[in-house]
Amino acid sequence: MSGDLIEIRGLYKYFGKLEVLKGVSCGIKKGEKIVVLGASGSGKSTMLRCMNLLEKPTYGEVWFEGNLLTPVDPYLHEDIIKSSRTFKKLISQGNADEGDMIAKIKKDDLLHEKNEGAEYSRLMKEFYKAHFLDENLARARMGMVFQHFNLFNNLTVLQNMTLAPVQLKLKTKEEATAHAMELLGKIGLTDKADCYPSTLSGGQKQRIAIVRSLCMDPQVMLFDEPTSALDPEMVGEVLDLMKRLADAGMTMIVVTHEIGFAREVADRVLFMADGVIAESGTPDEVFNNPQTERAKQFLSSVL
Amino acid sequence: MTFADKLAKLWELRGLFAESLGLSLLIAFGAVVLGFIIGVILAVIRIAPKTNPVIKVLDKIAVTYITVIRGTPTLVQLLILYNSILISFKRMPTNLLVPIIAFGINSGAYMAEIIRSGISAVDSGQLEAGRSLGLSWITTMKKIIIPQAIKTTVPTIFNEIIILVKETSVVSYIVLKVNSEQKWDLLGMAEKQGLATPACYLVFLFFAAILYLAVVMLLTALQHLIEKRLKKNER
Amino acid sequence: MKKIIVLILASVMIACCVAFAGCGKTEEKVLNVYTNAGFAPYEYLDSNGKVVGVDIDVVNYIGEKLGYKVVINDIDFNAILNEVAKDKFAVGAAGMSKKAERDELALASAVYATSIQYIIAPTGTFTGDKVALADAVAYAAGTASKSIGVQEGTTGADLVSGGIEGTDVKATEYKNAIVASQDIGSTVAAVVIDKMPAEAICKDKDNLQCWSLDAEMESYVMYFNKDNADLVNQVNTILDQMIKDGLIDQYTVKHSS
Repeated sequence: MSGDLIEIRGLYKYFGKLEVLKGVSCGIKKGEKIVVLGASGSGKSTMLRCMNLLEKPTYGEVWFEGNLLTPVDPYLHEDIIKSSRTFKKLISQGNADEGDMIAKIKKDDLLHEKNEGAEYSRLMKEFYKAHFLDENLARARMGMVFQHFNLFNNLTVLQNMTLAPVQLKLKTKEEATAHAMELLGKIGLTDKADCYPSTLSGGQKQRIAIVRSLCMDPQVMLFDEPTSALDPEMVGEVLDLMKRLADAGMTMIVVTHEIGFAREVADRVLFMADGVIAESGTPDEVFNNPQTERAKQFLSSVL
Repeated sequence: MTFADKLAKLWELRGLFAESLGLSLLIAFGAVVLGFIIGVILAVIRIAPKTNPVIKVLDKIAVTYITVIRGTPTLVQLLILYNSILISFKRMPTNLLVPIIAFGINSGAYMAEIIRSGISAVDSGQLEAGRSLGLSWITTMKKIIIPQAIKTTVPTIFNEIIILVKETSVVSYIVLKVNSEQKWDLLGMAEKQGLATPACYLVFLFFAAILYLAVVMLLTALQHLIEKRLKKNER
Repeated sequence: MKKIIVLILASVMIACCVAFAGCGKTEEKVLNVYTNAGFAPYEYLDSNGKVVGVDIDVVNYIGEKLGYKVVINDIDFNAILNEVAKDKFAVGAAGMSKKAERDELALASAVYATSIQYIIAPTGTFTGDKVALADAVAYAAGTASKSIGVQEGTTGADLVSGGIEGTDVKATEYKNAIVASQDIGSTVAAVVIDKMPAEAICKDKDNLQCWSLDAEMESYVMYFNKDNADLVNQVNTILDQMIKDGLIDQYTVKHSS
């Protein structure tokens, strides 16, 4: 909405009764490298996975390239709230200040979707129609790299890389193969093109997972603890590849524990705790001058 | 009748037994193919995310089907289908579709559960990776998940195939016709010939059992061959 | 791997096509004969896998004379009269004795053969040729099994159940007397079944012998659908002629060798 490549607004995520995200908002511009830090359970992976809709937020909206990926969240749109019966009723009861009323409605979760009247429903529908983008289409333009690599075990390396572009008719088989081999060349693994993932080391698998995503020419790459499952000697080769990617201009959001990487590569560091973004700033700001207690505690234990 | 005489009689009837064995196998394999297809469809329905209301309805139908079919004896299903729903097939000059459909429907319910557990056993990360590349749920299932599920369930599926081959031995409870002539499956033929020559009754039954054993052993060998080929694919 | 699957699918589909190829409709008159092919010499399977026997020869002759195509269906004995009741042009030909309960379900033809009940027991159990039913029951009472084997649905079964009334001897029902005779000495003491099958069973067994039971002669009839009295009349005329010409005796001799 604001020229951001990705924008998450007011994300809440419940897993049953457990509240994992408690109102997270963030905008990521094209070309930005974001590193997300935090203890386990802080919600950092969940937030990342909400960005490409692998997790569906309970409340809130996710925007990508100016398109809405989630259902419309009425609480994020003043004009929609104002068209609701609840709002109109409150105003007619003599409450003067619109702003207060809107805040109250948000705070107390007073909107009941089915009962808010025709105008409300119309606005919701119109907004949705105007901005909605199917998640599959969005995901094809985002890449994700997983902690446990998730290469397709029943396919060769080359097939892993060409499957999506060919299936989604973005490239012909020949084009996809050429692109894949070129990428494999850049990481020195062309000889593994016809091998199956089970024959590869962790470091090789993760680097191939990264280039597999690159075959789709994504606009942004999401990394979910990409080195956490690797033996120490292989962490370096994966981080190097990620650095090369960053240097080439890729927009990246990386959830990781690798502080060194954050210092070197990140434009912005987000520190998450208890389901919210507790700190946000440049690496220098966050590491050397943390504002919150939680951040200070966390950083002192890892630095 | 000496034992040698009985063996001689058995040898004389070898063509008939071979034909009957062929019939049993034809019915069994037709049922396996049908059962497998039904099983995959049901498994996918059962495992699909229940966001679509259509899926919810299909899922309930699938559960009912699986429960009812697994809960009633195969022979009962065969007899009921033969005398009701498949009645028009029954009258055809060659009515082998009746037992193939009946046994296929039966096997499908068991295959569904086997394949469903195979799918569940595939790491969820595989599906996530497929989806995160922009592939639809169905495409990911088709290209990534189901192939892997089948690999792990090969032994259990072959188990089901072996059971099915032997289950077809009840098929002579109905009248099988090939080109308007009545034919018998292996057990049926063994029994009838045994009744025609009472002294040979036991010998014929033993022979039928040996033939079934041979078929099962061949199937087991095939299973090991397939397992080896699949493992080779991963090296 | 894929090739194996394609091959299997293709062969199954081809088989089904072949199976379907025989689909056609003809308008000829058909007589659906229901029998249970485990009752030599009246109906049994020959070395070519075809149902043959005295009953089969009789229905084929009748079919030829009346211009019907004859289709033989080998089914469960107890299901025969049910099938006859469902189909106007059905015939039950299975060495069936005329019986009141059967007459309720279907229409009997004229008698075409007679029979008498026999008893099969270990060699030397009884003396003489005829055995009184009471003696048979007494013999069974003295064995460990205390049971006489019968073939379900037969008149022999009825005979035995009458004879064991008031005693502690039981009747064990089998689908077939041949199977029953395998159990003589263990589950049952003796087996009661019609003459011809009894003789066939004892023929090759040194340890078994058969005697005729001192009981009434039984008459074999064919059963027809109750709505087809016309057909029955036509059949009876032919049967009459067949008996006079000695045809049925010929058939019996042919299938008894």
